[in-house]
Amino acid sequence: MTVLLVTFVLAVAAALWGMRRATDAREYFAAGHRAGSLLVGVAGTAAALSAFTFVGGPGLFLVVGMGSLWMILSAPVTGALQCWAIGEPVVRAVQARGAVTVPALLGERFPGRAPQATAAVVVALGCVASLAVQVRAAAVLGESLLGVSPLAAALLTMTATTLYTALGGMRVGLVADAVQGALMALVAVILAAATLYAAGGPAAALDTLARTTPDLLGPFGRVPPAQAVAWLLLFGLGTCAQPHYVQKFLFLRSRHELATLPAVLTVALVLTLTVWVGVGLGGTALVATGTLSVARPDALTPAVLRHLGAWAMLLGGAGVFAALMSTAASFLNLAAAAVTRDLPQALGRRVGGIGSARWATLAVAGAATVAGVVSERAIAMLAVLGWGFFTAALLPVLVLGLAWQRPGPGAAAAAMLAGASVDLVLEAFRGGLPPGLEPGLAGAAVGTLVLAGAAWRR
Amino acid sequence: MLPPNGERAPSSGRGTERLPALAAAAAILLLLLPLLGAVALVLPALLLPLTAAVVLRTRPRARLLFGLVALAVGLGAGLAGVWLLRGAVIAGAVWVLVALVLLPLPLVPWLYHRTFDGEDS
Repeated sequence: MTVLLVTFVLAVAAALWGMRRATDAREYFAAGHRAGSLLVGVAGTAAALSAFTFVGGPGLFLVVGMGSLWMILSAPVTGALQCWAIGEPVVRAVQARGAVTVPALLGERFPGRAPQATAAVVVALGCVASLAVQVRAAAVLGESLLGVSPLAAALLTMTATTLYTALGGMRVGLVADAVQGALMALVAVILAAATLYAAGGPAAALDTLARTTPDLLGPFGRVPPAQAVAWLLLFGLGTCAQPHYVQKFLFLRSRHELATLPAVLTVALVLTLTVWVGVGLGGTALVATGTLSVARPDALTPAVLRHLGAWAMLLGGAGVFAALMSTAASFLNLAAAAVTRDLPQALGRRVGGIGSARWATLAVAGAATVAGVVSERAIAMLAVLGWGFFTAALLPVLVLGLAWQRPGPGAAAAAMLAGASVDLVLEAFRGGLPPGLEPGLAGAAVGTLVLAGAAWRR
Repeated sequence: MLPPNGERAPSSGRGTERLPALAAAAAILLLLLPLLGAVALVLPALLLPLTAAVVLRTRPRARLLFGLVALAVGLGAGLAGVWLLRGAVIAGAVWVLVALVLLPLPLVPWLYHRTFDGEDS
């Protein structure tokens, strides 16, 4: 409870600081376009990594072993990949026309109502759904890590995040994300090292698994190779299509900041991901030797933290809630922008000001909190509107659309709709899909074919 | 052949037709991924650098092209090792961590920095 209350007090202070500074749309949605690569890189990594990194990742290692790492193997490449494929055209477009949101950027590239409106709907839907999942995670992890009631954990986390995001926008959100990102990286490295030490060191942990559960090791663990490759591609290519990643390029003060951004992104990302490998490998070895026993995969991290002691519970709680809040702040801001700016702009209506964005942030947070707390069934349905959904809908228009001048507005809107639809249909049958057929990747592939085909016909 | 460090404006012509054709081919490969078996391991070494290569539309420089080819070769070597060590319990796991994470960790951001040009194109 102390962690959550301290977080709340800091959030109030941040909100008061930011309220007077976020005075226009440029400041509120794009942090004034004046951030450097260090701030953007650390904040971008914090926004990108949710509590899944601390809890779901190690839990997945317990189930499929080394195969789980194929979700994060693209980490050394994604920073540079994003800057090459998305960062350079986005920063150039922002310098030329000053877009403050991702749908506005697409609206400028593809003049016409349909592309910006479609992008705004995709972003709003995906962000509210992803927020609901974060709320649910706060409820579950508050109980298992901090011993707080699920409702109190969810409400305190969302209220604190909403407070500083609604009042200060990304002017505060960027700084808060950077502080949370630094904390996450520090906590991740400490917890990974402590867990591996408790398991006798990395070599001893590998030896333990080689003796007890060798099928968890090898390059693929228990994951079929085609599925491992699909995860590598989904989480590698998908980084170019996540609105909360692309948003960070809008904050940069100049194109020159891109030169060092991949280094910052990569270091921050890999430091934080050590928790996946360290707690996953060490924790699984501790389970294999009978030192720990867990009822379900997601219980591995809480069990490891309890085993390490009270200091680890406190540190782990801080890291997990920093991850939750940084991701939630970006989604809140993106959804508010989509509802109050992008959609009205695309439909030819009056664009709302900062005041309406603040109210929209509150409304989005409220809707996500209700969905996240009330219904487990709703969460299961909303969870599909996450990474894969954004990849399917936005990857073709962002990568191909920004680089290639030929596709028109109709092709862009059709590509987004086709990609999103294929992803949703395939997600409905996920259990029956063959290994290697990832809905998000398949949606992006179909969207690419639609974009290329429609443009060729022009 | 691209001129060394020579700027070329985004153009129509062959380059314009090549981009959608490559993208369409990549999309078809993605859809066929479940049927490719071991060949699927080639895809990341092909598609990740190919996605990054859209930057060549606005910065068509020999140094950049060379960097992206180096990235593809490095990824290809790492993934070939994965396939060769697919039956090795500890060596396979260590290869994944060393060849696909630790080695490219400093190299890829350095490659980006080296191929970045300060001019506004």
